[in-house]
Amino acid sequence: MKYRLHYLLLIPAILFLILFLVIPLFITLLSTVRTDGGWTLSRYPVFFQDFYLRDIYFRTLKIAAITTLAAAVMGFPTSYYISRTAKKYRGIYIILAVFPLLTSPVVRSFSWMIILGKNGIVNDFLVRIGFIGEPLNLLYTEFSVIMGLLYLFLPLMILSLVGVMENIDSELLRAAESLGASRLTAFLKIVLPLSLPGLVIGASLVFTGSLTAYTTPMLLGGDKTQVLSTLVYKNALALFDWQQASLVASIMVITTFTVVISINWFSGKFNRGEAG
Amino acid sequence: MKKIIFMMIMVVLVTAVLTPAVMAKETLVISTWGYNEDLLWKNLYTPFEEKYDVNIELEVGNNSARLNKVRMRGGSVVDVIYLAESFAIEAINNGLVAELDREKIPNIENLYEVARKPHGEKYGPAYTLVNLGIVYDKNAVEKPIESWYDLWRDDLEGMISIPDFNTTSGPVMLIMSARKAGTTIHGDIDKAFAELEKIKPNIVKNYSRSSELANMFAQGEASVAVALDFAFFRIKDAVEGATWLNPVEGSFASFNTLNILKGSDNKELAHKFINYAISKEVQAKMAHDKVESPLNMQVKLTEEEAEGLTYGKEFIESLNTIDWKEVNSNKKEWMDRWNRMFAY
Repeated sequence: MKYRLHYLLLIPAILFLILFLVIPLFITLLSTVRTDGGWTLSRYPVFFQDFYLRDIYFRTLKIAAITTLAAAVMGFPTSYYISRTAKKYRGIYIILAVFPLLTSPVVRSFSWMIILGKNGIVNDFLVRIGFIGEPLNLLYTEFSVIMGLLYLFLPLMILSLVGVMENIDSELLRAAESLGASRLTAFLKIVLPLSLPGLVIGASLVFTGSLTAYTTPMLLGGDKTQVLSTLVYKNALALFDWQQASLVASIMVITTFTVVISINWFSGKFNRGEAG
Repeated sequence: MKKIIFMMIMVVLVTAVLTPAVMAKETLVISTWGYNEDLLWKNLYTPFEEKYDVNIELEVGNNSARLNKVRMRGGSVVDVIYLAESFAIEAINNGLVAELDREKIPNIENLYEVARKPHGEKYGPAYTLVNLGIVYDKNAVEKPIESWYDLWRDDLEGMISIPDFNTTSGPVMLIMSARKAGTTIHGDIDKAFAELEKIKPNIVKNYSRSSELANMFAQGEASVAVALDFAFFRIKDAVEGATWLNPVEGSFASFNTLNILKGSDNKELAHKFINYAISKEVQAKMAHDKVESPLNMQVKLTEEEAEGLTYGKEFIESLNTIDWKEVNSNKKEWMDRWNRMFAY
């Protein structure tokens, strides 16, 4: 009896989520398939038949995917290093890694404008060493958006990975080596599979965040790098077209769900394959 | 546990004691921008509170966010709303604005003709205007810019930033494109867009915030921009050669208006507020602090005092205006066309 009561503690959080997340989400999704007299799914194909909107959709997807991949590649070694250092230093490293999260996205984006601008640090350096003659157009491109997002979301990847990697028993590695596995094999056969849950969580967070980020693409992107979130903003707050805004929002939600579930499914398969 | 109960009792008591004291006064809720809030309190809100023994509460945000809030709530809560012209029309078209009793706002007679009834007899006056022209860095361009049409020059390739179509200064480029093509936005809009397309190689980016524009100038991303005058003051701080230009065809006026919303419980007080906000006294103080350009004709400024402000009957009457009725009724189509054009 006492044990069952524990579940009651979940009620406030569940109520909150149902009231402020599930129901509004449901209403939004519903509004995209309702017409005056009945139901229709036709708005979705209409969206994708429009080359302009389709381009925005795939651009957003591409930016989010590249950011996630880059965050995984950069985050993995960093996290591994942090998880293997002595406990007393780990806190400091984590604070350093999380530091970007402590400033607002606007400030961060403005800082990137200073770094990537025509008079910016990068261009200044490249011109000075004679690598290029004229400053490059780095800002207002997909590149600058990805840089901004990567900087923004890398900490989430690192945090998720460190949490999991910390619990990998280093005895396992020693055991593998003593049984004749090379360091690389030990890493691939032990560390990588055991870190997978962290990688899945990190990738889901980074992907979702990048797909839905607004400030960064708005400030670091240009007219040619519109993404779904800026499209929602334009529809909702410039045209007051909530119908279309809901449609785009629903497409974003469905995409996120699909991708996150796929990542989970693949990692599950991968893990089982390893075990077998 | 005892502590918690004690705290709760205290909270209830304090609320009970304070509420009547606050409630005793009438409260006027004003929806406005957050700029220069300190100076607005000093010159307008606090003196008004004292004069009429009332409280003022603010709801702060940009035009569209505030208008959206009002729309969602069906008009209630807010009494007086500050809006740029284009959004005021939007609010009127949505049936959110209450009719004005002009007899209760005698100061309207002291405003410039253009400011008295920007949206007709029934709705509120403009209380200030912003000048919309061209900013450029004179050290970055080969020869000076004088006309709107100079923006199409080949030597300005990749140097210009223009306001996004959905901002309060967005339609200006479309209007000037139309004029350049020998038509108007009421006429052959295809021709206007075709002309606008020719300027595309010169455009770095459509900007949506003036802070963003100042940053673009500072970083050398843009050297020319179509901008509101208050953006110019920010740019001037960052770029030495920044120059303000009133093009030969004239700058544009962007009016800000005051309106009373339907559902306001304090209509009397709201009228008094609008009357006070456009009074000689308040407008002069605002002008001296360089917060707002006065539209009350009784405000007289010396040349020095008028620096940086849009001032003077002749100048104000020479400004071009944007036909927001026409723009708003075509907004969806034009904005879509605009966005698609600049996306490729």
